[in-house]
Amino acid sequence: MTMSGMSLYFLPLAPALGVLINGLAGKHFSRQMIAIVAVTAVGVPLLIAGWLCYQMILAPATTKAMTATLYQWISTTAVSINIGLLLDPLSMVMVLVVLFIGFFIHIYSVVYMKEDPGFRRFFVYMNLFIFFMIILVMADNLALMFVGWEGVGLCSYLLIGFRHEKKSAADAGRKAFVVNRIGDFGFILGILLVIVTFHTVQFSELSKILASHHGISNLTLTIAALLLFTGAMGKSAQFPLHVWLPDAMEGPTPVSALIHAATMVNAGVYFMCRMAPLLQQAPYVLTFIAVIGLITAVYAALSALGQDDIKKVLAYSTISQIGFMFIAVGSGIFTAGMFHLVTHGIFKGLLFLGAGAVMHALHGELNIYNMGDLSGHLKIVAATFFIGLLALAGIFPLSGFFSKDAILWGAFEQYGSWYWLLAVVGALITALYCGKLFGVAFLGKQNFSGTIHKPDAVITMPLAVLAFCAVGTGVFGLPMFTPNTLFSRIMGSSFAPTEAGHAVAVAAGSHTLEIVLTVAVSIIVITVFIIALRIFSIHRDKAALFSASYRKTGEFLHAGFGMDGLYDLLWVRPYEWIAQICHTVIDRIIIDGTVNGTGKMANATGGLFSALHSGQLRYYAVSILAGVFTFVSVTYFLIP
Amino acid sequence: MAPSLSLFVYTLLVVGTAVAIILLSHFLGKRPLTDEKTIPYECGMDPLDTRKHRFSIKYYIVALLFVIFDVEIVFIYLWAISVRDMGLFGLLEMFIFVGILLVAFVYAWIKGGLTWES
Amino acid sequence: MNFIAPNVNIISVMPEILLLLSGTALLFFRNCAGQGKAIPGIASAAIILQGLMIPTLWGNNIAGFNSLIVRDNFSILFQTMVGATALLAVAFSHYYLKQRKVSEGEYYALILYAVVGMNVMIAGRDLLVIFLGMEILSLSLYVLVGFFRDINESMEATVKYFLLGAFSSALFLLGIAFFFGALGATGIDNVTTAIEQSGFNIMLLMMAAALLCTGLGFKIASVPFHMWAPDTYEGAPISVASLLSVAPKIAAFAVLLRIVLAVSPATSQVTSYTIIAMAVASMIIGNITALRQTGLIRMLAYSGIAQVGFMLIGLLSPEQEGGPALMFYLSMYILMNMGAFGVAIVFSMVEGKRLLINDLSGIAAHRPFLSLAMSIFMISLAGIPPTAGFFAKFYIFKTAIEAGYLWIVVVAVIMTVVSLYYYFRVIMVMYMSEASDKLSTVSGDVTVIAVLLGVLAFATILFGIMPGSIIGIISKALAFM
Repeated sequence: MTMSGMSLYFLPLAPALGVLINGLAGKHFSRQMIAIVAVTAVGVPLLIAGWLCYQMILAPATTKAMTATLYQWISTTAVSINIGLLLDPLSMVMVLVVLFIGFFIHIYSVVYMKEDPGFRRFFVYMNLFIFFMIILVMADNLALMFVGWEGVGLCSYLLIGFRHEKKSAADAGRKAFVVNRIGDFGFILGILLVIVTFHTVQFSELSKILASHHGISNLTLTIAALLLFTGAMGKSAQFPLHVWLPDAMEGPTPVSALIHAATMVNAGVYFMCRMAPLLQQAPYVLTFIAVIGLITAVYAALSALGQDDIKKVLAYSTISQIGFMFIAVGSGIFTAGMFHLVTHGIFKGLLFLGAGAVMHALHGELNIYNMGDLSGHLKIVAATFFIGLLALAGIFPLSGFFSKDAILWGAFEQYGSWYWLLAVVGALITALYCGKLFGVAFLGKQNFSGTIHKPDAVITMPLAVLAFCAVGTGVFGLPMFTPNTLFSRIMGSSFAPTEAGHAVAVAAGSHTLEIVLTVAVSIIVITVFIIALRIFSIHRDKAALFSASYRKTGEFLHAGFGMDGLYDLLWVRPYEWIAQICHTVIDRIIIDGTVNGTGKMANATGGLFSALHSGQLRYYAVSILAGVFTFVSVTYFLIP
Repeated sequence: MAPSLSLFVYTLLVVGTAVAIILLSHFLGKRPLTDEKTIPYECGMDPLDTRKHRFSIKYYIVALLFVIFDVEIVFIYLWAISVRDMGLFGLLEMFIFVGILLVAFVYAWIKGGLTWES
Repeated sequence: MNFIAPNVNIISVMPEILLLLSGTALLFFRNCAGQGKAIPGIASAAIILQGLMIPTLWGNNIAGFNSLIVRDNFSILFQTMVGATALLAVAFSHYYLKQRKVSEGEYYALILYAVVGMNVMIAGRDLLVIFLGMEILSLSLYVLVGFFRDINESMEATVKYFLLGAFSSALFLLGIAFFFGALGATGIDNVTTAIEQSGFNIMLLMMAAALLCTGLGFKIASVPFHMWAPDTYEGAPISVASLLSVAPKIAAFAVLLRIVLAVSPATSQVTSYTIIAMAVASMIIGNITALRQTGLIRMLAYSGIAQVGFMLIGLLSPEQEGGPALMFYLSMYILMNMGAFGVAIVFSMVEGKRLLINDLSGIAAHRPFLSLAMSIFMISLAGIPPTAGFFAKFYIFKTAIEAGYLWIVVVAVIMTVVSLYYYFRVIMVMYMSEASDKLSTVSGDVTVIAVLLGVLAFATILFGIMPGSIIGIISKALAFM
């Protein structure tokens, strides 16, 4: 095995070691020591990943993918599954995103969680999460990916319910778990169907089979792709399985930043990109994904508009942005989807960390209407938050602009102007709530009293770094208006066979239309953003009047179109009713009766047998004799 | 001499010796007989006794040690008949066998198996 | 008179000679101060050395004593298992004896002799040689069980074990007599030749098989020959009980497997009825009686009886997958059962008296690692993934289903469910009860034993995740048969 092959193992190994050290021995460590271990466990693999990335960029196109197989996990006649890692440009990008953002969030958390009694538990979970996330993105087959997939789900559940003594937090954790199960159900069925159809779960072999004349019916492919997409919907909070994400904000803010904005929720997008060869051959599925993505993007953006909890705004915005990524996937431009994933990971991580800093400063205040004029008090936080919002709104020349523009143009090309228009509406609403958020919370009149905790350097440093990246990563989107951007050159071989046709088609077309549309959209977006900013900072009373007259609409948006109520009516209550019947009739009477009866009977029999065991030697000898007699006589009579 | 005849002579010799010893002790022994002199083993053990009687565990150790040599004699006797045919192999084997017995004997000795009073 | 010198081939018994010599040397080490570690050290060194010698014979089928002893791969594998068990028992004994402040060379010598006996049993190809090995083993164990003459329970245990053991040995001998009557020879391989020439008495052979199963059934403590086990395990020093609960079973199963393999072509289904009866009765009585036990060792004894029931299922299809499945089960059984006994030894080091399950209440708070290890062993004994015990049961059940014994598997699965109760009770008591402070003062240097237990627990998990390597070795061993 080569040097780099070995170093692949180190990427998941380091956070695993962090978990073990802090989990087993951390009780005797000081907080400082725990923090050092936890941060090192993410920092060291980040350095290695950087080195590997450098190697990968230097490597010729044919050898960009590195693999390492640890051992054969399951071996049956139907399928054999390895524990193997795969690092190609696609997973490289994900690894870098996870480790880079994860590293800064770890640093940030050291100060943020300083006073928390669950300090050690927090970092153990965080390292565990990084470990599973690395497994998820580096798995070279569906089964191992599913291990990571479930692992991050578990960590997410643990971290949402981190303050488990709070009922809402515990409930939110449970909700996330249950909703994700629905998605995972589809995922498992999908994996099984893939096993039955292809007899392998290895990504490389899957794409090899799909590239050949495999003769598998379109229907089978479509069902498999749809099932797998269901899994992605659950994890990436796509309509209608998104309901867990806003509640997940009960977790500590660094958790929201890392898991529920930058990394885990994007796993669905990564997964779909991984399955690109399959999706390409199941055409209806791509359209389905595009529609789901569009609905989610617009719906969540509208819901974000109605929120007044700073973290909920960001949560809905995350759902909406992931919707944009799925639009990219559905339009067949996987590179653009991944690019948006990267930029979004950075600026959304930044926004959440900024929100955390604001909460920290205001002693846990979440309602944006109780803030106001923060830019005067928290200069660095406000500046970085502003950069983050600009990127989110997609304003030139920040990174969000490049990635969103690529998606919009791809959608236009694939599905035409109406579809494009709706997506643009989503983008406009994004700009609107961005402006509103900044206007209400950071500008205008001060709406809070009391002192402000000034954030210290450890908090602002990650903000500054991420803000710099939020501006800078746009570079990878250059040169514009061609599919041959810097980012796609890095991604290179990952989608080469699947996107080739698309790239040719785009290269042949003219750029004029694209440039016109981009400029037009940009101008409108900037205008909307500025207007929103002004209304919600200077003319706040007018805005209040406006929202008072449309109070019902406001409430409707606030409740996320009442999805929770709908779910309650459609699923929760009937389910509770059935559960009640199961509990009283089936469980109590039938099952408990049987089980307890059996248990009692077994116990009584045990007593009987114990009584036989008297301790008297002669009975023991009789037992032997009886056995011999029985065996010998039975044998005698059975002899043919 | 036919085998059956030699066996007959052998039996006569055995019975004759036994009868001779008893008769000799009858004629040579002093009279009158005391109680001690009528019991089968004059060395101290009464063969007829109630079962509650307890006797020292040391008898067993002596008996065990006796068995070691008893078994040894049995083997050596058979071995002695065919030692010429077996040659060096047989000789070595007997040395190993006696050696093992010796180790056991030394062990018993060290453990105090030969001392009656402790 | 023509004398033909036997083909001794001394190499074939070199490991046993080594063990005998070092054991005899140990006899002369008396209870001297300053030898605390030397004696178990010598004993371990001897076992390790013979353990290193045995694999060098791999694949050579070395025969000795006119092929009365044959070291094929089958026996090498079983002997390695026995050696590993004995090594663990020596380590455990060191701690147990240290606690009682004695250091007796004789104790370790007896363990070495027991290993010799088991090796002879495993490698023996003639029933009389096997019987010889069995007696060497039994005599050593009788003394070991009653080694501490000042403990009354221990004396009771050894007398029970001795009398019943002698009884069952007599039955085994009777079996040999029938065997001789059937074939005119006592070699196991003679059955095969006799079948080819069809020159044997089928009735006597079947009687012989039933009686031999009886004698060996006593050694593996299967129902209805199991009655001695709980009393003896509980009365014996725990370190001896740990050896007693694993090692003789390995040797006896090796012999059983050989006999069943040889005899089953001749007796068709009849022998398997005896085995089925033993297996089913062991599973049911072992598991259900274990439910009610309060003593930890006694519970483990019944659990052992139940485990033997599961293992016996493997004997139903010995030619196919049953043999390898049984061997895999046995090797995993070493890990988990020795582990459980090892934990019991550490816990009993302060207590001295009968160890109750309830004495462990809340121990997890004071002894987190030991409790974790114990939990792993219990989970594995219960047969829950991802532990080795799961795969052990899984393979056994699989072979039984393939051989057409579905109903036995159904019984076995039900009994597995029953067993969850008493295995998990231990875990529950350790983690969920209030600390009783009875054992909280566990002290003393337990480093080596803790490391050993850690290795055992790790291996239990490891082979639960990747059982393939062991299976591979076992199939290789049986390919030569």
